[in-house]
Amino acid sequence: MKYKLYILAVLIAASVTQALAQIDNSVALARQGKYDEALQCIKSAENQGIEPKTAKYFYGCVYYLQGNWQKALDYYTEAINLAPDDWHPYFDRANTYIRQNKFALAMQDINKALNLSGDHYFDVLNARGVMYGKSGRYKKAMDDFNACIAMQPSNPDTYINVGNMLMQQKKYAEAEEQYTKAIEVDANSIAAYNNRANAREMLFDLDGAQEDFDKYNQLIMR
Amino acid sequence: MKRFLIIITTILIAATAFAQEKPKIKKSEFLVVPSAEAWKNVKRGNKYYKKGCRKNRVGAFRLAASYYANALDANDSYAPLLYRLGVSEVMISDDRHAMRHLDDAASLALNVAEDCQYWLAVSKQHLNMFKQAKRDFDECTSSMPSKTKERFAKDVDLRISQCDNGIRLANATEMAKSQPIKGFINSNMPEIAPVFCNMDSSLYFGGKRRDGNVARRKRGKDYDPASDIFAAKASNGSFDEPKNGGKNINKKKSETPAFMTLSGGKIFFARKDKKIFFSHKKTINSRWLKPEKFITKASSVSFSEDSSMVVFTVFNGKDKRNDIYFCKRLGKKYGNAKSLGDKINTQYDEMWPCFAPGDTVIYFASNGAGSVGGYDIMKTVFREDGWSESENLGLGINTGTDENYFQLAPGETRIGYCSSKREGGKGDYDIYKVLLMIRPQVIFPPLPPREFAFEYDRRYYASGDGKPKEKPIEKPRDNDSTAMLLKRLTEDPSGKIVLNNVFFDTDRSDLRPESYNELNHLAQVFEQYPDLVIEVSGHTDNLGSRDHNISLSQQRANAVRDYLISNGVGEEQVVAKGYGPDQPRDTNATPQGRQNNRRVEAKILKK
Repeated sequence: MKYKLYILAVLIAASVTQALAQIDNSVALARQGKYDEALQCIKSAENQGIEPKTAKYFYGCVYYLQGNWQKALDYYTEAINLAPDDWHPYFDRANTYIRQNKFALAMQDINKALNLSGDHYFDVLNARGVMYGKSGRYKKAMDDFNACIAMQPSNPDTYINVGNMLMQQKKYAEAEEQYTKAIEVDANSIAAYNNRANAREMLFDLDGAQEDFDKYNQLIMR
Repeated sequence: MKRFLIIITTILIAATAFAQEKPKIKKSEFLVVPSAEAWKNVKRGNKYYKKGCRKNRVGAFRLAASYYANALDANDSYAPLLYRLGVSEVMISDDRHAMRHLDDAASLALNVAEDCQYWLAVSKQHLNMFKQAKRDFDECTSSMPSKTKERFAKDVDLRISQCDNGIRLANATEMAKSQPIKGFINSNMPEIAPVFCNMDSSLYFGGKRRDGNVARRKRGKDYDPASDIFAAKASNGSFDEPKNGGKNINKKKSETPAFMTLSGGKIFFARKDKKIFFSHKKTINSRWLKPEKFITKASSVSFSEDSSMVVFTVFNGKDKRNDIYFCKRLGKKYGNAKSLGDKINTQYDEMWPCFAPGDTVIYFASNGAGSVGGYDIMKTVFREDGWSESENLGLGINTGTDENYFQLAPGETRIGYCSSKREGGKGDYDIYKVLLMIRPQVIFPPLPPREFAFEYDRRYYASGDGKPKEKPIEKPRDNDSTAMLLKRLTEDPSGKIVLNNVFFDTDRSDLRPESYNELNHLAQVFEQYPDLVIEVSGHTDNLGSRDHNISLSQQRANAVRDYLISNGVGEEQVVAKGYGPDQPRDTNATPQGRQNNRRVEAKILKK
């Protein structure tokens, strides 16, 4: 009997491993535009024993990649209902609401994700800052970005996010300063050089822009 | 001179045809308090206003506006005076004042003039207030008598479609940016047709300033001096006081620059906007020599890089409009002129063409249905089926009033100059520096182009419960000795090997201590082969953005290189390169495949 139980456990484990591989496949296929095949992979994964809430979550991801926002929302909501303490579907549902310009709902979800995020608090906070920026709530965005900088001052991405938000507001000189900070902490930041080149152009600092653009090309080609 | 006026004020011709001499200013109504001075100003203003209406003279409107503004001191609440002042101000592009005065006139007397709302709409269009202007244009003909409505119909339709362009372009990506040039060039008189000379580092332009004009005493039929060619030297991003181009090129007729060669030793210019001449200059300080005729019946010219083609503006007398033509070089001469095609030449004016380097792009000005108001700078690209439909360069350079005479600086692909009548200048046409935005636009950072939460947390679904799991420690593979490492390097048919025991934390480029052993062995290989040169390359899977992966793989390759150099390997012996996801060894569709793709490789470049 014990032997039979052991064999069963091994078979189940093998099945789940295959199911997880199918999940990987599904996202890769969706990124290539093969949405039907991606959905099929998730269905196979369901048959092979993947947890329902994981399947719902990835259905949501595939529909998101397809641009079918409503279906993505529906599946993320189902995943949330099955696992209310999991920050991942809240995060992605927030991004989906952003796509639909429903900022209030996005904020609700991203705040929930923040409360549940644990080790990923920095990442979710940065994303919330970007969402505030996109909705024009610049002061709140800066509060989040400042908190991120306090947590990880040598992470260039926060400075780049702030710079992009300032470019959106046509504050080119201030944006240039932020990109410069990003470069100071990461001298090989492709995004920072490209974005600073654009900010310098808007300021008519053509020599400076050319320098940055040359560096961008150098980094891209390496 | 006559042709010059027609060309410069074409859009105003359409508008001035509508400017009417009614309503009259009645002395008994205007002079609440007797003032001989005020009435004199009104009479002088009336004289020039009449000339402006009848003969389309911008200079006449300039004078009228000046006298009417003085008359306001006696009575600033008299609707007919405010209307005439407002119309004069629209003609000279003093639109902010025009809007205020026309608005006041309409408020004081609802039917002060049947076209008051039209002129109000024009002033708003000039100021890029496209939504409000469109609304006013839609309403302005409803209260006009039918004959007046007929007269205005075509122009109003054109302006409504121009306003639609303006509304659309307000949300479009900027294709160009412009700012006024610094220094002493721009004044309250028109400055037009800027071309840059590389030889003497000066900006040449057509100016009507009274000081320095060869024909300064002569007042043209538009009551402004004739245009002369001036030159202002560039210094520290600014321009010095302009000097007259000299009596060889400036006569008592009107002259404007048209084209400057790359070396700066030859200038082409238009005289009376009917003929193109050229002149040579041997050195920086020498004078321009006596000009020779190049082409007649043309008002502007531009050459391709190799001079095999020339484009120019011709006034089509039959259709009463300006079009762009081209000629191809046949030996020492140019062949017959041909139209640039119906996609470019419309029922409106297309003028002042300028080749971009590479000769597959032409910039030009048009006041037709593609503009947002007046002349706008447009672009056409040469494709398999000929020159493309014209494309407006957008609101970074174009406004609801005129932008024209755009020329790239010789040898430049992105920097040029144009003239514009926009608000904020020193008066009438001013010269602006232009930057064409042909670089990639802002790209977004590595964070968060990771689209999904699970990408921040790769352990997410592996655990099956959404909770973080301890990262499994990767078991080191067979520990390569120096000899085995060298054997693999030299014998591998692909010429490169994977460094099996080089580890990094997720999304970081700091080497983990368990990597040191393998890299120490690699450093020892260099002791045995002092001339060895290798490439260390970083590779990733395809999850996440390509830019982020390239950056990360480069940083990791750099980390390996830095470690080797710190262990005695020469800087010139190790090249570091990040390939990101571009060179996978395995499929990215499975976790194992992706793990195999995340690697550092070494390849011998020289033994």
